[in-house]
Amino acid sequence: MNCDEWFEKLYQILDADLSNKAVWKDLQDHMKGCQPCWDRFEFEKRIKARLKDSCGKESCSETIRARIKALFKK
Amino acid sequence: MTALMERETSNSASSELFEKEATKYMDELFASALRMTKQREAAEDLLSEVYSKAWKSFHQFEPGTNLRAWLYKILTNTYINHYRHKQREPYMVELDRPDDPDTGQGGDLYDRILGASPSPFDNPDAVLANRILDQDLTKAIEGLPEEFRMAVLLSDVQNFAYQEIADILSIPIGTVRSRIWRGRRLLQRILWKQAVEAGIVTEDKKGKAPV
Repeated sequence: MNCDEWFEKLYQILDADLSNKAVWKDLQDHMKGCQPCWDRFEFEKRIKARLKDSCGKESCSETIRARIKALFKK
Repeated sequence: MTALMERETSNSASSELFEKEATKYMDELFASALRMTKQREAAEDLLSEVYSKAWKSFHQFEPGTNLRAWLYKILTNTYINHYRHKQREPYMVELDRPDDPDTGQGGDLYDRILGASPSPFDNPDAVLANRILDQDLTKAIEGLPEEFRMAVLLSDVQNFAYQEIADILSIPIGTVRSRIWRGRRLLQRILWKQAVEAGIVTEDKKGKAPV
């Protein structure tokens, strides 16, 4: 497996979207032996984590919370 | 009469359970609604509409199936049908146009930082960790064209599996894969553009990224 082939499947490893164990192993093996691809993978992992942290942490206001709770009383 | 009373009792028990379970997701649904509408007030309206719809049709919900995914499906459908048309905006990056007319490349954040910076202190990880702020990421995701924004949001922020995203958005799983792929590449291009504009990195390939 070369770096281009690996790169095409990068997100399938990142998102655990692979059912074929042989392909999974090939991807892992390539990454372990290839520092640039390993670094790339780590970067993608971090950016995914940063997105979750920055975009996922919001709280809705008490006003809207009360408005929604009131819906359930109808 | 007894049968009716029993049914009422069981209905009210399950509606209480539904309320309890469904309201657990209020904050995260709000976060997603906010990334979709980009405005707090619109996101709040969207959120109450989602709960109102969910409440009205909760008898259609099958216990034991994924309530969270079901709520997200209502959220995305409601957004697409009622909110989307109100706010068409120019995209921050053009989809298939390369950033660099010479090489034809639309370099993303990682490649660009690597290309611009000879210093190990300015490697992509360091730039991401130290110079890219949470608000930059929020702005970047909001700058994505909608179909990519939805896919990236459901995957990266809300951690849904590809098949769940396919079900929520009613699209084939192959489309989910390609939207996530292109969405993430675009997101990095937006982050790069923002970083250049903010003076965090320099566009000149020969130059050194400023410290």
